[in-house]
This record gives sequence, C-alpha cells and structure tokens, in this order.
Amino acid sequence: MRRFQTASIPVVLTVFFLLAACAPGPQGTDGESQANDDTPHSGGTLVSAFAVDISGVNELIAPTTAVNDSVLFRIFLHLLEEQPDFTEHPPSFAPQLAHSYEWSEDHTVLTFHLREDVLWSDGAPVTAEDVRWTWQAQTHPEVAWEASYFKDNITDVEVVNPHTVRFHFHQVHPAQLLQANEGVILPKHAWSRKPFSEWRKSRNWFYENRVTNGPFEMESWKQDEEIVLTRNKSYFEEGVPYLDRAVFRIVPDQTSQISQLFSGDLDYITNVPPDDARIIRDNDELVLRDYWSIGFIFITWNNESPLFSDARVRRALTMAIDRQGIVDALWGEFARTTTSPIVDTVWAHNRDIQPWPYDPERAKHLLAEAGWTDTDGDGILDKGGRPFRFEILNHTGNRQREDATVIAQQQLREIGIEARPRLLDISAFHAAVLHGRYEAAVEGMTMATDLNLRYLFHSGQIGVSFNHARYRNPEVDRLIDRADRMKGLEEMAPYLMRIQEIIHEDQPLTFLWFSKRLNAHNRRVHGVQGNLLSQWFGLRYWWLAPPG
Amino acid sequence: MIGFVLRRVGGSLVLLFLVLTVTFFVIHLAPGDPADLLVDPRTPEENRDRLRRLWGLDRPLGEQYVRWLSAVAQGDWGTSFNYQEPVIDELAGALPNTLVLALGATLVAFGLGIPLGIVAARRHNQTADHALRVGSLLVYSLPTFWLGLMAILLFSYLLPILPASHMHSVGSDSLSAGRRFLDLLYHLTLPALILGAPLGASITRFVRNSLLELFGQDFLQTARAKGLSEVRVVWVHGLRNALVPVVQILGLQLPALLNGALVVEVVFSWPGLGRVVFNSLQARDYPMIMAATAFTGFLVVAGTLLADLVHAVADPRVRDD
Amino acid sequence: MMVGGGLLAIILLLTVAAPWLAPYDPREQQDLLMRRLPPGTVLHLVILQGGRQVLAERVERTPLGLAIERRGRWEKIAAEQVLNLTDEGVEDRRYFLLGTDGVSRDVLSRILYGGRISLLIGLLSILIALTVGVAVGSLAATGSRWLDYLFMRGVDAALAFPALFLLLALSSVFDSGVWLLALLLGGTSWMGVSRLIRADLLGLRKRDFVLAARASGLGRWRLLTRHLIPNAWSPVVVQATLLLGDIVLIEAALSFLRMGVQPPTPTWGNMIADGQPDLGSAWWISTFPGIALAITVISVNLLADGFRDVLEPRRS
Repeated sequence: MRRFQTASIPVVLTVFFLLAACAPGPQGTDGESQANDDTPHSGGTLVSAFAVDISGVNELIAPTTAVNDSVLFRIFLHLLEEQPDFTEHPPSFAPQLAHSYEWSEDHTVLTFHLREDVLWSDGAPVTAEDVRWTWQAQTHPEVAWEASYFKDNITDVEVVNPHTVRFHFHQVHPAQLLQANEGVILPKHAWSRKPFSEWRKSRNWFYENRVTNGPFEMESWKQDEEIVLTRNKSYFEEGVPYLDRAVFRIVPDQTSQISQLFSGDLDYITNVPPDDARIIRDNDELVLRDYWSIGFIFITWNNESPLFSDARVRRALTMAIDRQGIVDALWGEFARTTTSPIVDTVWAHNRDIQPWPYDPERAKHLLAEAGWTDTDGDGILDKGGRPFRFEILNHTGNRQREDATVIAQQQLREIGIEARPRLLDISAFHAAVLHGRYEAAVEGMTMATDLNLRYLFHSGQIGVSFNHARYRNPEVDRLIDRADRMKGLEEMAPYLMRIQEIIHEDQPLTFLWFSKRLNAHNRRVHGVQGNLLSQWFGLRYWWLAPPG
Repeated sequence: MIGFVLRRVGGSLVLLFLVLTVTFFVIHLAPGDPADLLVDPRTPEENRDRLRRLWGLDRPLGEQYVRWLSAVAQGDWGTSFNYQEPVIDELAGALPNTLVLALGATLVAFGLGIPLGIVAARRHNQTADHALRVGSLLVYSLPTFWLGLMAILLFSYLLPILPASHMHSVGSDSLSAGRRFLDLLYHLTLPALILGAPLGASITRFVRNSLLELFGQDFLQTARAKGLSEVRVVWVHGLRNALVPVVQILGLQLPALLNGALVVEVVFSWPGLGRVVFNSLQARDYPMIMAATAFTGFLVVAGTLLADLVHAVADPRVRDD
Repeated sequence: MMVGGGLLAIILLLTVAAPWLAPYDPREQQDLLMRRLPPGTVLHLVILQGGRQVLAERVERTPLGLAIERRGRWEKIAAEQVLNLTDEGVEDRRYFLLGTDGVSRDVLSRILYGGRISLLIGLLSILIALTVGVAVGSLAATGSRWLDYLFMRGVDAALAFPALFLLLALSSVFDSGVWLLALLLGGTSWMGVSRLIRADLLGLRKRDFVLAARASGLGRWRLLTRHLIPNAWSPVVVQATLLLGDIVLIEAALSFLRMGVQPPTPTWGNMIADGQPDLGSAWWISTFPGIALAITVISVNLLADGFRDVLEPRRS
C-alpha cells in the first residue's frame, strides 16, 4: 500500500503526468508491430459490440453487469483508478478525481484531495459535495444499491472544503481503500432534484438528465441498438481521449460479431470463443489479444448433505474428475486448472499447493474408506442403503459449464457415482444454491481484487452470500476474521496462504478452471488495453491509425 | 341480441379476471424472485431483502394480490423490476413492434393464402392443386422456431442477403423516412414470412375448400353457364362468402399467432411484446408479466368474442346459448 | 391420405425401437476431441486398457503399437495399451451418419431417443386431453342447461389463457419431467375436443334413435356410452390427431426455450436449441432434429387429413 504524500500540487501533477505518459501498454502480443507510426493519432470513431444492452446510466439502480461498467466507467470518474497490475502485488491506484490521499495515524480516517479542474458536462465544478452526496445515495435504503455492503465500514463522509473530502471508517480493514473508492461519483446538483424514493422508477429520467465528468460523454443511447460516446472536450487530461467517438452496438449473436469484425463493420469485439481464435489469428488484418481472467468455474458440493459431508468423499470426487482433460477438451490453450479461488496469475496465490491428481483408482479407495462401496452390484456405490446418486445444477446460458457438467458426469459414472445434470434459469438457480436446496451445482465466480475469502468460506455467510457449499470450519473462520483486521492487502497474505491450504485439504468445492478472455480488433486500432478489470480499460488512450 | 352481446362481454370480463388471478399466483410460486437475479454472488442476502421490501415481495401472497389488484383498478400497473420504468411505458414501446410483425405476418398470410387458394380451387385435382395441398400441409406442420433458424441459416449465413435479427439497422435514425421504411421492411421480411406462413397455409386450404364447396367441382363452368364473368364469380360471390369465416379463423387463430410471435421474436431478437414477456418470465419481473398477460389475455378474449359475435350475426341459432 | 398413417407408424416404430436401432448411447460422449463432426464421419475406434476409448481419423500400425491422428495431431500408443489391436491397426469403426454434437454425442442416436420422449409426451397429452375433453363435453351436452353454461364458460376461460405463457410460467415452477409436461400440455389442449363433442352431442340429441332410447327410460350414463359417443367420435378422432401434431410442436417449442425437457435427456426441441450457437459452423446439430420433427408432424397431419376424408366425406 503506497502512500502519496501531500506534496505541492505541481510536483504531484508532474508525477501524475509521468504516470499518464507511461500508461500500461497493450497486453497480449500478437503481431503488434506497426510499421509506421507509434505516436497516437487524434480522431476517428471506434465501433465495438456488446452482446446485451446496458441497463441504465445510474450505477446505483441499474442491475450490475460487466456491460454496464464498461460504459459507465468511461463517462464517470472514480476517486482513484484501480490498475490491473495484479500479478506481483496488490493492485495499485492511479489518481483520477482525487490526485492524492493520506491516512490518519490509526488508519481509520482517509482524506482525499480532489483535483480542482474537473467539470461536469454542464459546466458545474466537481466538488467534495458530490462525493459526500454520492455516498448518501449509495447507502440510502430506498435507492437500495446492490453493492452498498462495500460501504458498511464507512461511518461518515465529511466535506472539509470544496476539494478535500474525508472518509471515516468504523474499523481497520485490508480493503478500506477499495471500500471508499467503490462506485463512481455522481452529480449532486443535477440528480439530487430527483428524490431518492423515486430513483428506482426513473431509469429514463437519469438518461435524459445525464451529467457526466469522465473522459467521454454519452451522446445517445438507443435501447437494444447502440450507445454512442463522444470525447469530453473539457476533460482534464491533456490530449486524451484520442478518439472522437466510441460506438457500442448491441449484437447478441457471437457469430454475427465475428463476421462483422471481418467485414469491418466492427473494430473491436470481446469474449471471442476459443474455437474462433484460429481464424482470427490467420487473418492479417486482425489482431487477437488474450489475458487471463480471474474468474473461475467450480463445482459446489452441499457440505451439509450426507453425500458430501465427509472431506474424503469430496477429495475423491475431485480426483475422479479429469479437470485437465476437461480443460484440454473445451478450451485447449485458453484455460488452466486452478487449485484455489485465488488463481495463479494473482499475487496471493499459494504456489506450494499441488493439485489433486486425476486418479480414479485412488478416488475409489477413498470412497471405500468413507464407507461407499457397491454392495448390490448395480454399478452404483452405496452406503447404508443409500445409492450415491444426486442432481447437479447448472444455470442456462453458459455452454462451457454445461459441457463440463456432462463430461464430469461421465467420469463420475465410471467410478460408480451417478450425477444427473439439471438446468435451471438464473433466478431459480440462485434461490436453490443460496438456501441449500440442492446437492451439487456448477458455478462461476470472480474473486474481487479485495481477495475476501469470507464470502466463499466463512460459516457466517451461509445463506447470506456466497458460501453456497455451507462449509463450516472454525479454523478458517478464525483466520478470515483475523485477516479482516489487517491494515492492507499485503498483510493479509500469510492468512490467505494458510486458508488456501486448508481449503485444498477439505475440498468444499472442486475447482475446475479459469480461462483466458479473448478480444480481437483490426489493425487500425492501437493502444488496446482490455484486461481483467475491463475490456475497455483505458479507452481514453486508444487511438485509430488514419486510413491509408 | 343486445342481451346476448352483454352476456358475452360480461362473461369475457370475468374470464379475464380469472386468467389474471391464476397467472398471478402461478408466477409467484415459481422458485426464485427478481432479487435473486442480482448476480453478483457477494451481495449479501440483506441487500436482496431490502429490494424485496421495496418491491413489496416480503408481504404474504394474498396481500400482494390485493394490493396489485387495487392498483390496477386505478390504472397503475406498477414499475418493472428489470427496466425500472412504468410497466405500461415498456409495454407501449414493445407493442407496436409486435403489431408490425403481426400485420406483416397477416399480410403475408392473406397475400399468399388467398391467391394460392384460388389457384388450387381452379385447378382442382390437378398437379398444382396437389402440390399446393402438400405444400401447405408442409408449411403448417413445420416448427416455427426451427423454420426461423433454417431461414437465418439460409438467408443470413449462407447467402447473406437478409438480416438475422433486430428491427432496424444500426444508425437507421439518420436515414430519411423513406429509407428507414425500407430498412424496416428489410428486417421484417424473414420474421413476417416465418410467422405468416403457417397461417397462410391454413388460409390457402380454407379458401380452396370454401370455393369448392360453394360452387361444386366445376365452379367455373357453372359460373360461365350462368353468364357471369370469372372475376365476379370468384371475388364477389366466392370470397365474400368465404371471408366471413376467415375473419372467424383470424379471431380464433389469434392465440396461436401470439404464441408464434413470441417464438419468432425470441429467435429473431425482434423487440416486441413476446420477447419482453419471455425475458420478464426469466427475470421474474412480476409487474411486467402480469401486465403482459393481461394484455394478451385481453387480445385473446377479444378475438374469441369477435369470432363468436360474427358467428352469432351469421347464425341466429347460436344466440340462444 | 393414409400415406400419413404409414409414415407415422414407421416413425413410431423407429422411435419405440430406438434402444435396438440407435447405433450408440445417446448420452455417451464418444470422444471429446471429436465434437461437432459433420454427417457421414467415420472414425477408427481404439479401445484402451481400463475401458477408455479413443477415436481417430487415421490409424497406422507401428512396430511398437499404433500411431493415431486426432484432429491434425499424431499420437503414439504402445501395443499393450490397446485391447483391439490387429495386424493392420484396428478394425473397429464408429459411424456418425448425422454427425456429432457439441459434446461428441451421436446425433442420429439422439434423434431416435429424442423421438421417443417427444412422442411419449405427445401421446400421453392426447390421452389426457381426450379424457378431460370428452368428459366435459358430454357432461355439458347431456346435463342441465345450467351445467352446460357453466362448463362452456369454463372452456372459454381455459381457452382464453395465453397457453404458451402459462406453460412457460408453469414449467419454471415445476420440475419438468415427462409426466408433468404431458399433464400441462394435455391440460391446456382439451378445450377444442370438449367443444366438438358437445356440439356433436347436441346435434345428436334431437335425433330419433336418441329420443327413442330416452323414451325407453335409458339412464344418462348408458345413453352416453352406448348411443351418443359411438356416433360422435369421428370428428373427435380427426381433432385428436391434429392435436397430436400441435402438441408435439408446442413441446418442441417449450424445450427449445429451455423450459421443457431438460438436457441431457434429448428431445427434438432442446437439440435444436443446443445447436443454435453453432448454426453457422455445425448446422447439422439443429437441422436434423428439425427435419425429424417436421416429418413427424407432417405425417400426423396427413393422417388427420386421411381420417377426415374417410370419416367425413361430405367435406371434400
């Protein structure tokens, strides 16, 4: 955790400009050599695609989707901009609305110093009042922001002067900075006209009365068709954005997106399926980029079910499923197995953990040890008269997970376990796994940068958030509680390591894979930085080579 | 007669009420609710509960029903959980698109059905007739959604001449009105064809059979013997008689058309009522589902009512019902 | 048009005999590297120690065992590993007449088994629809005017439900097994049958032989079963046959929208849905189930036409 000293503004600004100049370069390589110009060129329109439409301009009432963030984070500012430099150390933060910040001695007060040259799109200045009012909106019960729990640790947001704002925390926590920074800053002068109680009925009003302060402005939003962003001419960073306009078209069908990329109707597409990687690579006009996502897919075993309450059984299940084989079959080079919810491209991954091998024989032995044998010769293991048979849930909309379930089912069958896949729609699926009304389920999750394992493994989260496995381990609870009292993410490291070890032994979940995200664009586009924080990260630094 | 009409209308209203009540309870019984769709898995249950309270979902079901009913009686259909706008506005936005689709389908159905029916009647028992009989049977029997997919495969992927989805091309706003209309037609072609074809097939068969029934096998000769021109025979006498039942067919086929529209809209991403309903079902967007059901129920009931009234006008015996 | 009847019979036979006819297990993923293979693919089958099997495009015998080519890459397998080794390599083949799907299952086998499910649901639904429809219609026709009025308004009410919406809603509430779907589909389709029966019976009521039977003091039940229904069943047969076609289509639509039969149980509808993302590249996954569906429904409708021609000759 770095501390920015409250040095004099010019020095800080200089540092800032230096940082801006050395903006993170494009990740993933695939023939990036531009023969001529490497200096950014101003102008042009970038056309890209979303598979679904955004759900609104107001972050607090729009259901959270990655698509929403992609657009909203281009037109609104955060206090700081989280950087995707996640691999070696906890992520760093670059100044955005705030140019610096400092902690109090006891680490319960965080003071931000705001830039004085940021304007809203209607000309009004962005001030500390906006920051405070945003916090009030974020925590208001009638606004009912999904992610308001991030702010639970904040007791007050104080306006010290128009450009200094102070966050007061209840207690020290490793993710305090993230807690303060979560959520974009909203325009008090414009949006406080609408009483909070009416926010959730007024999606269109916010669009019609949109007032933004980010590098881009939203020129128009035609529902289910396209979203058009234009350069904010009064953006405080010199010379950026380079693009005149960024157009996002709604193209639900992946095949259409790819064919439009080829025909030139689209400049940039995301979430390219691995099967299509080759044709894009083979095309000289196109560039394929990839990066490791930190979302992972896993099987949740209901630890409270008599089938899965024994850790030996869960270990056996893991060993009976050929996770590497599944990855090879479904993803090829574009995914890897993982031993932990903190995947190996993240700084806090426990590298000493060795994955459980694919060993059906050993699995059978473990199961026999736990009392599961085939006493009646029907090919299915049983114990105390109960056959090892269960339903494994999936929710609609994800091919790879469905495919993986079917593969795993076959492998389990080979050792005498019968898993019956069942598809539910998202709503029913969620209800089932949250309340423990299931036996096994295939799920996906993205561990956030705060690396809080509490949601997944703390017994207090059963029926509350994401401990769908209903895992109870007092040792793990204790470690999580202690980790949460650390002052910064780095200090959490030893606890995270130990927790990962225990989870590896206990296997409340069977981790399947984490995968690469593939993006593709044509050669005219430069400076593409799509990464795990956003596939449009740093859009203000992207530029188009002039035609010809 | 008036009594008959009043009774039927009154009955229809009761019907509608029944439909809505049953639908209300059925959808609320489905596992999961809109708060579960906040897919961020870390969202604690209390945040979801908070939304439930806001939406009134924490009250007992009976109470929710009464509240909803009284709101509706005052014209307030509520706010969509998913779109956060008044339900009526969302439906009002989607409805015209479905009407456009339905209109297009009906035009296709009549535009193809009537002429082909006439042709089949004229060439009774010849190859054309047989071909048309088989053809219309074929079309009538094919699953709409599969037909839609095959059409997309053929006309959007293999021979890319028609768009695979949506109602407008991107950027169509900047086109002149005339060109926008053409763009709309361009997008409407496949969905309207797919939706209208089965109806068209029914109409073909019906027109053919009606004409033959009215005039016997050699109806042209009969007409000429009577000294009437073919046009008069066919159009004035034939179709006029055949069209009354055709209106009936339309009224009765309305539910099928709506069902078909739902599927076509999903396959072609057509922004109409059917697709809204489908998405709302998955999102457990109760106010939206209820309003959409009310509306489609109303259409169906109105269609049946119309068909019955027409029948009653034509056949007085029915009125003693 | 008894062609239809013939066709339908063939289809029924094929699907009933699916367990014997289908070349492979519809749920078996043959070899995960062999997904989305086009129709007519023939592959070599290599059976390994431990019961695993592997499919390959080319197989060559080497001094130490086998060299096999899978999706463009060559692998070597030692002779001891292979259970079905011969002097030339391996003799066993797998034939995928209609190709493989997204998880390397045989499309042909899935179509045959899928047909069983689809037709089973269809026939069960018809049974339910007929039972309820005939019961309601007869009771309405032979009961008091009040009862008739009540029943028919009930029928109208049932007809007024936007069936697909209701089915969609209901199938998200309940776990959609074969029986439940049959119940739902039958439960939303009986109305036409009951109206028909009622109309016919009302017409028959005035006829001489009925008046005579009533005059002789015959009870209502016997009147119904002995005299009325046997004379009224012909239009019902036509209607029921047409209904079968409709129901098969609706079940397919429901399964297509992922609210009917759930995978991995194959049904023509969900197979078409499975193939939709690959429409451009692996078109066979969606196309063939659709053709099977089409042929089935066409034959059903032809059969209905045939019945109509035979039983109601007045309508040419």
